[in-house]
Amino acid sequence: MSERTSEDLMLIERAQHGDKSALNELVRKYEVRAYQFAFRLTRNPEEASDVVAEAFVRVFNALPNFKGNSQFTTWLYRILTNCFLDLRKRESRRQTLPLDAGVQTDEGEMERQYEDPKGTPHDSLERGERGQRIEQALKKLPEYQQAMIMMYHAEQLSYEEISEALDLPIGTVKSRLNRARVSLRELLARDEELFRM
Amino acid sequence: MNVSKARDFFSDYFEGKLEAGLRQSFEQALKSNPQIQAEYEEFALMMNTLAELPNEEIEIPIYLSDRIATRLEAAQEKRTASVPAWLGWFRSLALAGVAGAVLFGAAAGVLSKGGSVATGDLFNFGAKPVKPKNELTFAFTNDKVVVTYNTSDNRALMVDKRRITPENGSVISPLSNSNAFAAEFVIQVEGSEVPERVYIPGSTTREASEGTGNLADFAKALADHYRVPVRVTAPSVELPINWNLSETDAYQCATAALKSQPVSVDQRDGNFICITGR
Repeated sequence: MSERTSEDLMLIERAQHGDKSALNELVRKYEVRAYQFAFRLTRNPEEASDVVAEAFVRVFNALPNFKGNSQFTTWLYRILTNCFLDLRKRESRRQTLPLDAGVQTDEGEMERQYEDPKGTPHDSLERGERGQRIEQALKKLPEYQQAMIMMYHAEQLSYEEISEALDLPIGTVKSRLNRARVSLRELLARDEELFRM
Repeated sequence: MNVSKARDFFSDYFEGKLEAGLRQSFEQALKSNPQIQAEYEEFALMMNTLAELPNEEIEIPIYLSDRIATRLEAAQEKRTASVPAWLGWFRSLALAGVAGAVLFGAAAGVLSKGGSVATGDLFNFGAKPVKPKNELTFAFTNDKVVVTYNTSDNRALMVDKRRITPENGSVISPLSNSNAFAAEFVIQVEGSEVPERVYIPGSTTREASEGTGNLADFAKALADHYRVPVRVTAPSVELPINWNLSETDAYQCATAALKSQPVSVDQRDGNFICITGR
């Protein structure tokens, strides 16, 4: 067991026994990492902060039942992923108009204008065109596939850790991740065809 | 091997994990089928771009720690009956956060895919938790706000331009308002960039009405109408705000008035309304 894992388990045990500083320490230790993952999934600071806050509430509520069979970090990733999926579910229930639907005005139908939460066009240019297109294509993947791709490529979790976090056999993780990547390639290829038109 | 079957092996081949027999079949298909070849080339290019994801800079919002603390407090309040002693202890999280820090992703290649850490603390994506050097907490009781300041580097606390030197690393400063209308107190750790502003209600309750002004005017109106203290953490209070004090509670009123502003709103300990600049 790594030093980090045993330190986490000690903190969890202390928190389970009502030590107020232990959960504080866990939150402080992992809030940045949790936020980075949540932001990569949502690309929105408000939503990412909500996902992280909700995840720590679920950690707090579930702590008495945490048996230490998995690492705290993989458990946290699972909770974060569930919070993200729940957020998107709530949104899809609320959404009544597709984002690309037009708006009726006196001068006919006009395209909707949405503010880009990711900053100015100048910022976007700096991120690199290919990176941006991958970002856009990722959004079109099912949320579960987005989470897997982010866990592996951005968070650098191993297949074993993803398997633990998502409670799936490693073989399933590998095949689903491959499917997600193949779908992403297809989306990018379609996008490139559009560019050529 | 057809195109569809070949796609199943893209990841394993890219990662060099395809067993010998399959690798030969796959390479044969790559040579003989231009579609497989083209798709795999695009796949490999995409995988290389994905490998750059950890290097993305992600700015941590100044309000993150506060938001976590607020939600944990709310969760705790539901459990209060069974464990009352814990009430309020999440609050110490908030000011110890990672305000405004720009954090970098893990240095590419430092973390091995097996999950073991090659060097130091990089499993934490280059971001180490920041220990609080100067911690400010606020409590509201009997119409007074008590400011508690703990410091490990002995910086002074400025309260409305009055300099207070810590004794044994701490300052406790009660603030009260005997005026008819809300009063503003500006509290700042010496040398810090963003001041805290606290608005304490006056003796007169303001009537429900619409209003226009800056963030400070709004905080005062909020304090006087709903009889709550308001805390504003922002570099400036010069944001133009339109408000309507007809909402049922202060939190809903603040959320509605500030929804399009670059601030977040939280309510702590069931009374303080906290407005934090993003």
